[in-house]
Amino acid sequence: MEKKKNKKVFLKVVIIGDSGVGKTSLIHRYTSTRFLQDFKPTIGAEFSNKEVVINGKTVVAQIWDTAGQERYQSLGISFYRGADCCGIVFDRSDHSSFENLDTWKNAFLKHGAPKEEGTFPFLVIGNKSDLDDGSLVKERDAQQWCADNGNLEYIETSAKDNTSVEEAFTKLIEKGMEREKVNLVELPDRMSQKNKTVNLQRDVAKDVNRKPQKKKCC
Amino acid sequence: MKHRINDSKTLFKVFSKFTEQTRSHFGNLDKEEFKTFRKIPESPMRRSLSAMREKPTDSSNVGICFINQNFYNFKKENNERKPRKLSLKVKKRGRSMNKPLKKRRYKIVNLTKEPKTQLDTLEDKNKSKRGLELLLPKKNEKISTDDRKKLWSYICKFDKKMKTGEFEKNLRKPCNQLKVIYGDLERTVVNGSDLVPKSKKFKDAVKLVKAMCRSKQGISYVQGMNHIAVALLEIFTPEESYCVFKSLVDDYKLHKMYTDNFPLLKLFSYLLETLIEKHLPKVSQWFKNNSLGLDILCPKWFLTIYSRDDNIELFLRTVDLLFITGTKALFQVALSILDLLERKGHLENFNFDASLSAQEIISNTKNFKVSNKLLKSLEKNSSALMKKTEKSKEMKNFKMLPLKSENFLEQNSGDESCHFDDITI
Repeated sequence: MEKKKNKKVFLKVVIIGDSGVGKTSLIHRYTSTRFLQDFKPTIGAEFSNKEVVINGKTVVAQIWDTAGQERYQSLGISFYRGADCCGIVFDRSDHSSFENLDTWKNAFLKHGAPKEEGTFPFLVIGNKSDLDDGSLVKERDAQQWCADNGNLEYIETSAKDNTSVEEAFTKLIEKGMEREKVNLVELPDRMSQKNKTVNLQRDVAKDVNRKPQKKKCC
Repeated sequence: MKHRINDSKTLFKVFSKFTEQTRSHFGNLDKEEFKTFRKIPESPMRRSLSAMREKPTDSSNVGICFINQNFYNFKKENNERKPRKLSLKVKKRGRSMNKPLKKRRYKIVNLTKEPKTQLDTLEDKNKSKRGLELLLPKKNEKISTDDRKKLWSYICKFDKKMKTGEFEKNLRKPCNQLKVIYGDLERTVVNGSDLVPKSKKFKDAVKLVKAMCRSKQGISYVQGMNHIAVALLEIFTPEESYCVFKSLVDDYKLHKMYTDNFPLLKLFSYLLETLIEKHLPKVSQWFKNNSLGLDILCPKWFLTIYSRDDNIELFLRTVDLLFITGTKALFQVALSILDLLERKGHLENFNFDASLSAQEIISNTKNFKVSNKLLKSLEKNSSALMKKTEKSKEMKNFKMLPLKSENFLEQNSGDESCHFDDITI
């Protein structure tokens, strides 16, 4: 009902990738059209909302910025769940972050547990294209990786120079919307998951209000 | 030479002499001078203490606090016995000897007692530091940096920890996360400006973080430690800062906050959720309406002990509170922040960069009564709850990470590369 009233589509976009590849700056560039040289490392996760019009539809994109450190993976479960699309970012000047793409994709599929593992919309983003000193990860290699991993789409960006940032996010959101059309059933499922947790907490609240038992004398 | 001091004025004079001494070489008080205090009857001392507490200058209170503690320690060291109490003990012993049955029953009760919870041990540790409450006449009052240095050096036992040379030892150990540490420290902000690579501050911070990663088995670098390190370095030397962190991790049992899978963080997240439901129903509703979990806040707040937002004052004062009242302080501060944000109408601003001052937040904590008893009972519930959810998750063939993962930690302790296993299937 709400959807019809507002004519808005709600999408959850999750951005993952190694620490320091520029996830936060990409998102910041997109949501506030600014670039800050330094960001504090993200701890846990953060999110920001952006309203865009794509193909005549108003979309509210909730963009989730996640921590890059591997150790935060174990907290990722709740952040990944219910995502409509996922952007995997790597730093083109840092080859190890490119090599970790596999790990990130697998981790997302494992913890986010989307229903269609094979066709879930991913977008691979090669950031920091402005740092061109000849040793960047080549587009050919990146395209090759994408082709090997289920024909994913690849885009090169630079949050600093603002090259193709808008384009990357628009692509992501479009992909997410395509998926939304197919799986409209997803939403109530997500809601029921939330409800489950609420019920459990209520039980606890009752227990808290109960008077504590008196200590027995030794 | 033994004095008998009966009127509080002379006592006050002697005390103020002591405060001066503690300032000059605190911790190494002259034992000879303490002997003069041995015969002081208890009641006038207490009376004078309460009189001193009313005095507005808190520097004098610092002195008293230390004297009180040192006096106590000194007594302990010399095994001083009180004849009156001894006789009481004899009586008690005699009673129990007459009734051996009672002793046995006690044993049985002890066996059936439930195992100690994490928070139980926390509270035990805190009980011994009750004397320190004297330091802060009102919990919400500011302490000067010098006083804080003294207080923390006392609580964290700098002398004792520095003697072991652990800081230097930890530095020599290899660290496989250096790349991440450097990257994070380069983008850490202190007092509004970035840390400059290759500056002294930066090098100190790297040293400290390296040592922190090795402070206890199972701990390895977590993003967020860098904020704590930088905040501590604003006041202390690297070695002293290490002692503070070590004490937080050891004495306040926060080490599971930094081990794999963050068991303590998950527990705290759960505890905070129930506390919010109880104290701030509006905020709880807001989270539900936006279908958000508290896991956005908890890592940011608890892992860094509120040091992330370049609000060093808030970090320091939260740790003050933590030292004085125990773990519940962390929750009180969280509740206070959420309450203030809700009242100001921008709840979505979790970073509260400039909108809230430390003074505001800390003074608001007194509105939230969180008892250790409540936290303990909640903790028990949480373990039962997690077992339930684990079972339901297993049904769906989904791996849920355990909350109280004692066994899990033991298996993995010391193994640095174990967190990679989480990702690769």
